[in-house]
Amino acid sequence: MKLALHGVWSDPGCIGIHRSIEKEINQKYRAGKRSGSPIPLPCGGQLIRARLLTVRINAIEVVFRGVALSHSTINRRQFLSSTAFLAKGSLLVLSVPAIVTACREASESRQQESRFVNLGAEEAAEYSAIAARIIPSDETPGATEAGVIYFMDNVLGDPEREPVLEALRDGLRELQYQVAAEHGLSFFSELNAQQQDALLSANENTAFFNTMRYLTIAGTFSLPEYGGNRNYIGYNIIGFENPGGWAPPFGFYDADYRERGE
Amino acid sequence: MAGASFPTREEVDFVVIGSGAAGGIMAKELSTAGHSVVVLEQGPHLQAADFKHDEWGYDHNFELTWGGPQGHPQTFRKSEQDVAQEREQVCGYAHNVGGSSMHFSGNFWRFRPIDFMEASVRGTVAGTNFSDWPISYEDLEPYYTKVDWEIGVSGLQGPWDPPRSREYPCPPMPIKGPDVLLERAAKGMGLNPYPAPVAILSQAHNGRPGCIHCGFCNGFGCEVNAKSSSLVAMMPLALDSGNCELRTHATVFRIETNEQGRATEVLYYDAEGNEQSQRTRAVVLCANGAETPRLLLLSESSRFPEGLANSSGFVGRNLMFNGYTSVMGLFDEPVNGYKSIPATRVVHDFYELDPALGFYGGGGIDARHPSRGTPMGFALMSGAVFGGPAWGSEYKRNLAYQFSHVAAFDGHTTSLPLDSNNITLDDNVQDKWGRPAIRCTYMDHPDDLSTMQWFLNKSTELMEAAGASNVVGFYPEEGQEGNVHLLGTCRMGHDPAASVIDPFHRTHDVPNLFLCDGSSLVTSGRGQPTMTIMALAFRAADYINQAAQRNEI
Repeated sequence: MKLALHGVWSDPGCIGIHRSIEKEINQKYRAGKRSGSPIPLPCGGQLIRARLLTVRINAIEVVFRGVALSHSTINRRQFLSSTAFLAKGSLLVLSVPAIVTACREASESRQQESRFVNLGAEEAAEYSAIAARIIPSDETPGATEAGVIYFMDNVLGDPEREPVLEALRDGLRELQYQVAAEHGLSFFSELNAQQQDALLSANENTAFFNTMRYLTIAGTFSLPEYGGNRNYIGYNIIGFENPGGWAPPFGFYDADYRERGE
Repeated sequence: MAGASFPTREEVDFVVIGSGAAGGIMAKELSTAGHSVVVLEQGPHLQAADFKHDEWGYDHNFELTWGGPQGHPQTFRKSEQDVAQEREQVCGYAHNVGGSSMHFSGNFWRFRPIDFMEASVRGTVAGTNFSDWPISYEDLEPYYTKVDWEIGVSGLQGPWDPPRSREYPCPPMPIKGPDVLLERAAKGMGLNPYPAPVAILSQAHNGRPGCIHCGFCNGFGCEVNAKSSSLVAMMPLALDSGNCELRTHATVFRIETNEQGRATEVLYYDAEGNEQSQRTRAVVLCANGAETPRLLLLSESSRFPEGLANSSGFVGRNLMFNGYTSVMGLFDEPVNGYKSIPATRVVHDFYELDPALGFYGGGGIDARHPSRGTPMGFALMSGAVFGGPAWGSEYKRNLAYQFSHVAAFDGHTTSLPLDSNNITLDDNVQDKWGRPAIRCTYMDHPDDLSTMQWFLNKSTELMEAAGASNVVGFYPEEGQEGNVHLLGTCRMGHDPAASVIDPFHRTHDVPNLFLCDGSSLVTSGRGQPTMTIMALAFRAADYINQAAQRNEI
């Protein structure tokens, strides 16, 4: 049996084929699990970057066309450096003119009922769902209310960041593969919160997850003009008032400093 | 503040390259003395109204400091045996009028008398270029005072100060939570914490207002002009003199010399990328400790085959970063260290560590917010620093608590000058103009690492004494791979074989070429170099003005 998949998984034209493959894979996967012998995932759990990739899963030969996904597509250290403690370096950089254009476009798109400029609606829903687990809406608002996805749509539109967006798309496909393999569904956003958290935990050390975390946090705490941190929701959830300036005393410990004659 | 305008084909008295901590002072001092001055600055002229609390733009996209995406890649390696790898930023500095004084933390510790003669008092350190300065604290003191008053420094005169001839123009900044915690802990341990001298106005001075404590300070431009940068304290005076022309987006790529070995013109790319050349009687190079040696190396010629002013081979050598450590802890009540300026107290009891420890070093400890008060920066580090999840509801709750309840005690320490730590031209990587990229080779000396370890331990002790829980700390154990302090790469000295400039900043090799910036420093001080760079600039300008009057340039 041979199935072919062209393009990327999130291209609307591929969805039908995509789902049919997943159905097959998942049937085999579950069967494998039941029999106690885990199904061999393609290339030991990692797909290799290639224009054309053929993998055999039990009797099913799956042909991927287009850019396949890989952990090694982008150097993981580079990715991690963007989130590393005090690290200045990051893959995610943007030129000033590009950001001005992107900001304007992102802002226009918001006015047109939240259409995305650079992201497809489907991948946006997936990134949104991931961001919503990284900074969840619970007793206080989270990434969703902060509009993190519009920040992502904005900053990932910079031509300089094309490789990052490509790598994210690769990473998303890999995540969706796991969704399919473990739950028989096509999209991360179809899982319940518990399932989502479990899957993200399993992916915590991937470049994809770390970049999603970086973008979610950046989108929550950047200035609203970049698309996220709407109404300063991000600042509010950590009690950062942002009045523009303060006057002493600034906190508990310096409040009685003068009175104590220190 | 329109400034003058000079034709490029006519000689001006001085071209000043760079408008940062030293360049801004040079521009003001030389132009107000009546000399015609052209300042060439590679960045734009951003001013108070342009500055925002834009953490994403400044910290993550390098919009003030530039880097690879803006066409300014740098490379790094730990030793000459390694192939240098391209990095977005290794030697960090702001590309803007005012240079890094525009976005610095404003900690304005003077060097102390010992800093200028430490090698003879303490003894040299084998395998290093650790030396005395050719000048003393007494030589520089009048100029430190000039910085206090002309640039604007807030502080409190006291027994803790090195000798000073005049009190501070502004009282110290109001104390913050982390600093109260540090001060109480330090006093409890018998130490002598005191108000940190800062180049931030606590009250109106020289026509500028006092600080509004907005919190977006270190790494940000000041939106009210309370931060005492050369952008706001010097350049307006230079331009008002009518003798100074400021050319922004001007990237210098060569200093041209004539057959007599004198500098004659400065070649640069203008904003449109066109080559321009300004003829001049003298050049004052103040481009910082990375760009100054790079430009000298780029300006080689048959007469100066190893680079301009480099007969000693010392151009680019002895790069010193200063070491740093950070210890963080959580407190029961809101500390709110994210408000106001970076630091308001400092402990200098460990300025010189006991030689009996077996290594050279010393430094100071101050109190801060660990992410410079930035929400995004703290949110990125929060899980990694204090443990617990790095995402999800628990992470979010922890973050909300920690952001306001955290304090950091930071160590700022010495670096030794080494031949092997240097700035050279990269063989493989070029910037947007096609110039070889800055290649930085750096590995902290073992004594520098031991000093950091010592300060980490001492800061941990202080943090625990302050009553913190969850105390964690770090220092770059495997050596630093970048910094914003760029010191020592064209050191001053009497000996033309072992230094680049004389004690008045004139290069030994080119009589009408002067260098003044972090590259001039002979030793690293204790981690806050800008005050000394500015004092050196005032002193050098004084000398240059006098020499010009005597027609000796």
